Amino acid sequence: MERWVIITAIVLAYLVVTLIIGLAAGRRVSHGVTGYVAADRQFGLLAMYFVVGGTVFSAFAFLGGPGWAFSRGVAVLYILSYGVLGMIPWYIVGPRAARLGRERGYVTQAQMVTGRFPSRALSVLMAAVGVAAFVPYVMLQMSGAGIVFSAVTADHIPFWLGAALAYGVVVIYVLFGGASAVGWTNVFEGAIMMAVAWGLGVYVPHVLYGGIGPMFERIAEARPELLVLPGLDASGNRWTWGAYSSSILASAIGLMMWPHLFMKAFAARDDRTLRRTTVLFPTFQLFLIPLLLVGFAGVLFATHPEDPDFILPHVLLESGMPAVVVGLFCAGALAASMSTGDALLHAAASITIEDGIAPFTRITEQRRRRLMQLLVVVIGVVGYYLAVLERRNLVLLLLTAYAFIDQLAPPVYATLFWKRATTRGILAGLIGGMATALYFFLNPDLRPFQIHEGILGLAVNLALLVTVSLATPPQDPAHAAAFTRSEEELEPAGG
Amino acid sequence: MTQRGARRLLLLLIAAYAAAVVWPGVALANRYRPTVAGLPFTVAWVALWILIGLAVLLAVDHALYAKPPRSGTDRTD
Repeated sequence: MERWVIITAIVLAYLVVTLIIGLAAGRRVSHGVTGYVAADRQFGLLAMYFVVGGTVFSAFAFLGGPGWAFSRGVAVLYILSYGVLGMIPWYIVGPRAARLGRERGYVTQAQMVTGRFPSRALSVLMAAVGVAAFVPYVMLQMSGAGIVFSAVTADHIPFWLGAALAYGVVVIYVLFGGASAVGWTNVFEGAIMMAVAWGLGVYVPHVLYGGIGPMFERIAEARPELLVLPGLDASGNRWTWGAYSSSILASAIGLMMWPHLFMKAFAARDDRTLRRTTVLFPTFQLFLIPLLLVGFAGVLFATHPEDPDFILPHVLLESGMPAVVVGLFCAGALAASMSTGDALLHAAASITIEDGIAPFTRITEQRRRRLMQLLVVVIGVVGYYLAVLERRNLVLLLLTAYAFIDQLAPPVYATLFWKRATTRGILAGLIGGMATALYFFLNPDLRPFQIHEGILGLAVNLALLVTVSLATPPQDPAHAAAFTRSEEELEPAGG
Repeated sequence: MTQRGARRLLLLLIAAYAAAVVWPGVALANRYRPTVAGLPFTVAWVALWILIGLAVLLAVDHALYAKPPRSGTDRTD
């Protein structure tokens, strides 16, 4: 049997199992909006662990990340540095958001923020930022699926067909199963991602170089500049400390502000589950290390792929790995792509309806759910069409998306922690922060010390939030306090 | 441990973590040798902080939920 047939068979088996799990999971929830968007708030620890891990780590973990290690050396450590840092605040923020969700019926981030700061403009603005950031993100995941298929089957399954197969499965299970299907497929996809990553990371350096130590010894001799922080930039020059450090901070601040991740707080069964998810997240994040090792393994290869994102499949194919290994890698990379892409499609549809349209009209819950399902298909098809048309510069778009997602942090934290914040302050900060981030994205040479545009936007955002809030009349204290209550204020008799 | 104590400890963890992985903190660990389990020291340093994060989160969670009185927002159903 030809290699590409064995590889394709393994991948198709993975896709079929995923589809079955997704369709089975969707049958178990209620038919309302809470069922479709937040899985009836019934995710336990197992589902939450893999939903959060599988959603945070996308196709980038299997393609872009190793590509960075290969072409930019230890600059890639920025990816390893921000995950846990960005997740720690969730231990406090997650349960507070979840409590408000239970008390007031929120299923999205913008519903919570506009619950505290009533403004339809704010609701639409937040929905627009989220959905605008999702589009390049979804396209990137679809491209990842297409790249993997075409690379490992020597184009027997071309880019367009690979992306269509993987995302056909995703659209079907999200369409019928909503959040529940996203959750239970992510358990399967997350487990595959981790198993494949650890397997490859140990196996490949061992087979090629006799171990991880010997591999780095050879890199240190041949390309020592790759092993000194802050590493290299995209064109191979030395990266700057300002860019390296502020990329970590911008990503850490933005991580849980992504609306599709934030809304998972509303899907958890209880606070203990949410907190344990946060506690265990670092164990998931460690799986990036073996993947980066395979990227480093490519440094010493005689031939290099045109695009560094192809380094992982390049290493596997050039070194003549068995077809089964390549097939499993392919399934792992697809799992990483799909476990992020499904959450994005689902959230984009949910947010458009709940935050962009529902505040302006009275539509029944049944119709809202129907509209969301329709949108899942529409966004899936449009994203696919765009991904096939335009394949370049997506990573750049995604890194920039963080700059805008960062601007959601002050509204979210003010909602939960600052009584004196006002609706006008929030709006002024959000708009000012977005404008600043956009300005420095368009004029990157004007950034001081190459600081990430998200951090520059945050400085303006915070300054405006504080000054405008203090200059406008405070909110009704009882209203504000209902959102900022700490755990001990909720139960004074307890510990 | 009280909820307030947990919040303070986690804020401290965030500050220490950030100081350790961004400039200038990480510059102090910026060298190839000694390698740890074959990994360059810089890589091992960043990986170590993932483990420190895990350890502190585990400890805080354990202390917060281990003994009565139970915490404010935890549902028991």
